[in-house]
Order: sequence, then structure tokens, then C-alpha cells
Amino acid sequence: MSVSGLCDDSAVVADDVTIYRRVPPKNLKYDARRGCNRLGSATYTDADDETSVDLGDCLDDRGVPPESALLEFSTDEGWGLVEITVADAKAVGATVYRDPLDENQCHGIVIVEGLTRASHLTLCAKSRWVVQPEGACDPPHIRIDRYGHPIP
Amino acid sequence: MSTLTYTPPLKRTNASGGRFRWLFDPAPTQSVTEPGIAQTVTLDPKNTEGLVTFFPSVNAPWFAPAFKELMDNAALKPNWDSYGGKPTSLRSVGIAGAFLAAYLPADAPGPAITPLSDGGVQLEWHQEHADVEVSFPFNKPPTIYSLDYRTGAETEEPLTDYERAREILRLLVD
Repeated sequence: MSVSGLCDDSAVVADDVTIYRRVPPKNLKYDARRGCNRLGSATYTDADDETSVDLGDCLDDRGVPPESALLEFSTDEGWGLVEITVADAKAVGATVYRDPLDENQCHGIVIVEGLTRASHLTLCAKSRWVVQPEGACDPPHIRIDRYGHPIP
Repeated sequence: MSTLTYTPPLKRTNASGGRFRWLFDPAPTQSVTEPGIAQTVTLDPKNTEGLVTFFPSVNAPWFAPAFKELMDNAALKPNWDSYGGKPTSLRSVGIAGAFLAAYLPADAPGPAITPLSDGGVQLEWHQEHADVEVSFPFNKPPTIYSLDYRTGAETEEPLTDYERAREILRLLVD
């Protein structure tokens, strides 16, 4: 989707917009079931219940690749980048707003206040790697039931 | 039944001269039978010049590496997560360390430790048969989450009950 004014902070963020979140090495946790490092449940958590993200439609408008979010960070040190859609976030009760900053006009926030741990884990399970750190599970996280079947 | 009191779950004493002694309040039961100094850990001088002392049960093989990682997280640089994350507070180190010392069975696997961006900390286990996460946010009440893959039972609740926490942690060794 691409329409004019996407970087206007009054614009609605459509469900099909992709949102991007950096993953620091500390948020990768060894999963004995899968034998790799899974995306930790704290990934979509900031200090104030407003989780910072980059908004894909704005990046597209500006011709900026999402991987640029990692320009200052080394994948050799385990940094990664994941993506979900606004619809994924809304499905667990989160809301997404535009919040352009001087240093990042494509900055958005995901309001995660009140979300349960299960909701955070669902966000992790909906996530896909854009930049996958070495040793990280792919997909980044799988919610499975007692029979080993993925939980949709 | 004992209750884990969050505000404050731990009492800091002997704070003079930069020495810290963390005590459970109220005193834990069962495996911890009397107040005492079972292990003394020197803190990173960048954080404080002093000591943290814990009750017994810290001879478990997972304690020293877990406490080291807690302290490493206390020495993280501000903005460690690129989103304004704070280093783990010494209060959170004390709470998490004392919780582990009192309630994690000695034969359990050690926790993975995740710093939270608000200065809190999260203890995690992702084993073949169970996931357990104990979260100590800096400014919110602690919670405990578990998923038993053998039964499909998933729980998430406030961490207010010592015995319930002990029961959930038993998932890691049963």
C-alpha cells in the first residue's frame, strides 16, 4: 500500500502495513525443544508500554530499506530485525500509531499496555525475520500445543 | 501459606559504606530455615562498591552463573536495546537473585536471564517439556508464566504466592 501523506502523524496505519522491530542479542533465548535461539517474549516491550517500531509504508515511500534500521548494529554481535503486520498487532489487542520523530520520520509506536504474556508470545510467533542472527530459530518463535502442533 | 510481598519483597540493610545485604521480608520458609550469609558476592565496582548477601541454597550449580549474568546486565550501557533500555537495577538483581536462591530447586536447570527495558529482569526456562518465565518489571508487580507441553496447560498469574511459585518451578525438574 502506498498513499500520500503516510508520514503524517494523523494518518491511520492500515492493517496491511508492515512494522519492523530491532532484536538485541539479549532477547534471543536458547530453546531446548528446537535447539536454537528463539525470539524472547520481551521483544515487543519498551519501558513505558509504548513499543517503538518502524512503519513499512513510510519506509517504502522514502525508498528506505527496512534493514537500514540495523545500520548502527552488528549482526556479528547477534542483532536481528523482525517484522509483523499491523493486523498481527491488532489481533492481540495492541494498537499502532504513527509517531514521527526528528531523527526517524517513519517511527511508530505499538501500545502494548495490558497485553498478557500469551499475547506477547503470539506477537513473537507472528514475527518473521528480516535479518536473522546466527543461531536464531526460523521461524523466530512457534506456539505449539501438547501434541506438538503449531497454535494458529 | 507464605506470601511474596512485592513492595518491598526485599529489605535492604547494612547500606552504610556501600555494603548491601538483601533479606527476604517475610523470611522464606522450608529450604531457607534461618537468616544467614551463605554466599557473598562482590558487585561490579562500576555499580557499587560493596557486597550482596543471600540466604542459603545458593550452592546450587546454577546460582553463580545466574548471578553473574544478573550483574552483567546491571552493567549494561543505557540504551542497550537501542530503544532506551535501562540497565538492570540493583534492586531487580537482588529480587531475582533472592527469588532464585529461595525457590528454584537445586537440581533444576539454570535460568536464561533477560533484562527488561525498564530496569527489571525476567528469568526464563525453555526446556523440552516446559516453558517458565518469571518477570520482575521495575515498576509493576511480578508475574509468573508456564506452559507444560505434556498437558498443554498454560498459566499466567501474578506472583503472589510462594508455594505456587515453587510448584510451577517444579515443572522444570519433574
